[in-house]
Amino acid sequence: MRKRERLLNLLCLLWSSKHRFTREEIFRRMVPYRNYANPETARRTFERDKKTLRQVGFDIQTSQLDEGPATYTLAQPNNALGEMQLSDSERMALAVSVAMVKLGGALSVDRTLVKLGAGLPGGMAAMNVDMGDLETEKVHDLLGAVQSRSHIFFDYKGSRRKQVEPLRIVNRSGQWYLQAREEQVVKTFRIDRLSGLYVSPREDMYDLALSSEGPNILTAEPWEFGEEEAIETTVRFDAEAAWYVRPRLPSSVGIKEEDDGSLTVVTAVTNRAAFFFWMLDFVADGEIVGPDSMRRAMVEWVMQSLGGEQK
Amino acid sequence: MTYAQPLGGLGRLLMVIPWLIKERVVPIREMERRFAIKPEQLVKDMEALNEVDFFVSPEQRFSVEITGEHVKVMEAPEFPATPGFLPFEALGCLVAAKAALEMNPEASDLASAVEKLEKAMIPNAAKALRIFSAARAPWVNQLREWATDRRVVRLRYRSTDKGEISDREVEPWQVYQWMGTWYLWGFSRTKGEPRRYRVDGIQRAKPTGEGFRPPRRVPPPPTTYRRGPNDHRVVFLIRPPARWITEHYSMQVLSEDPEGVATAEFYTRDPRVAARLALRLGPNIHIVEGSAARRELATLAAAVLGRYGCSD
Repeated sequence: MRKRERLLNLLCLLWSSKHRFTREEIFRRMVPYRNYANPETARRTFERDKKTLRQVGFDIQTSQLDEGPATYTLAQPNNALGEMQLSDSERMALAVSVAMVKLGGALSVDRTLVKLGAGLPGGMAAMNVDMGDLETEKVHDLLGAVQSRSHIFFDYKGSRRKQVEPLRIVNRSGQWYLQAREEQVVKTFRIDRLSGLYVSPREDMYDLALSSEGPNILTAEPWEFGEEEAIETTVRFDAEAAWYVRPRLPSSVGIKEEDDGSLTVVTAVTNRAAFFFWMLDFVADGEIVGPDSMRRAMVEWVMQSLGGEQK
Repeated sequence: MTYAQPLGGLGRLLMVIPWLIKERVVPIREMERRFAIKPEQLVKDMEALNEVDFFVSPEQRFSVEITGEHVKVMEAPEFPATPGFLPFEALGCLVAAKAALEMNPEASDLASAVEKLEKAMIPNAAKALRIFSAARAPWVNQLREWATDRRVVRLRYRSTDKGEISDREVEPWQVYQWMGTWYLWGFSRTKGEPRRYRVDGIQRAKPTGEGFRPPRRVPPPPTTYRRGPNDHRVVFLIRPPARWITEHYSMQVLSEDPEGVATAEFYTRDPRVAARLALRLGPNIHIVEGSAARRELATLAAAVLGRYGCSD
């Protein structure tokens, strides 16, 4: 049987029922997979077929309960999305943004564009924004868990299995994060490092309101969310460097433009290593003007960068 | 609302055209006041949309008539009644729209569309998906416009690693954001090869008046470092607090001891790149091999220490 027919049969099977099929069930129902003498070849062919179907826009969803086998189903269009009642001007704005902001990673929006009434403009320079590799299936499940306020369980970077209350999904600078509450503390997890995700079927288990104390780890700069005692630090950047320093300053710091064109920046530092890493990107175009303890710490940091034997 | 700065191409498409679709007839003066856009620019944008087959159906066109004082919409596309997105399509659409909104927060039609999409997708937790894009760097919109118009640009550019300022003539192909930073990708006439430039390193930019023809297939911008034949090899010893740099830079981890101290190999055209990393990471990294990088590190460190009054 040719590949095209096999793919069509797989689609028909998944489409025919809301049942979630295990791979074994699919193999039992479909001769082409069953006919492979080597089960490993059949498995690899099935994985390739799923990938092909996903690439052309079919949303094959996988789920796995605890140690049980993975099951597969084909997502149906969401009726609620058809009832959004977008005005023509909103539809136009959506189409333009989807056409012009090219997403890197796994998200393909070509079919989405067609549904919005637009194609892929060939002659316009797009504004490419790399949003990183997004595992849509995982994100879809996580968003579902946030919506139903259900606990989730997952393995993370080799630590013991975690149970958390998911609060939001965030993309910062092309990296995808889950922000979730674990034992009353709001923590941030990289989604690509999270595996064995299980969403509890029990709903309305917690409140979505975030605890507000401290800087938001997802909007603050790295030197603002360390665990060291906060030191209010003042930095002066030279006037000649101001034009390129300014766009690189985070919005969270206080900035004053002096009469001579230099910039004075005030920020609270709770992670000195992160602060020096940022500050030394400007090498000698800027200088810590206070407090003295931070000036001394900077000098020591630079000296240590030279002293190999101290490592 | 009035926008003091002229909008870039994306901003115009996101704000002016949806506004015209809604209003149908608008005074030119009002359009100029709100968006700082001239009728000629509007006509150019519409022609661009029609020429590049933005709309799926060839019958779908957008055109306006400009009289002495008004802009009147003559043809506007008819959009399909219900998009009927699959969940992952809706997610892609929402992410793109949120990224565009982050860059153009004044686009009110896009903001309301995003709100509706969020409510439909995740009705009980509409703010569950957040996109933090890179800050809007100066020149981004302007450079994209010149790339679309295929205009050669002269840049006054400060190189990130050397800190040297020089003039370059560039055929701009694309403006893109990667790892939270905006870049211009194009052909450098000065260097005779494709180059990428950090947009926040551009001090001045101006079209030279010349046009250019981009290659039939523009090569994708580099996202990893491509090693050259004359590259410097540097070997770092990296302590656990700085271990993250092996994921952010093109480094090959050679070994790792039980305490998490890694040895990693790094190739660079300019040893100052490695020196700068070593300076920034202080006691958490050490150059094990690479004499040129070590010399550059000494120079950089001396400059910083001199600034703090410790020149010896």
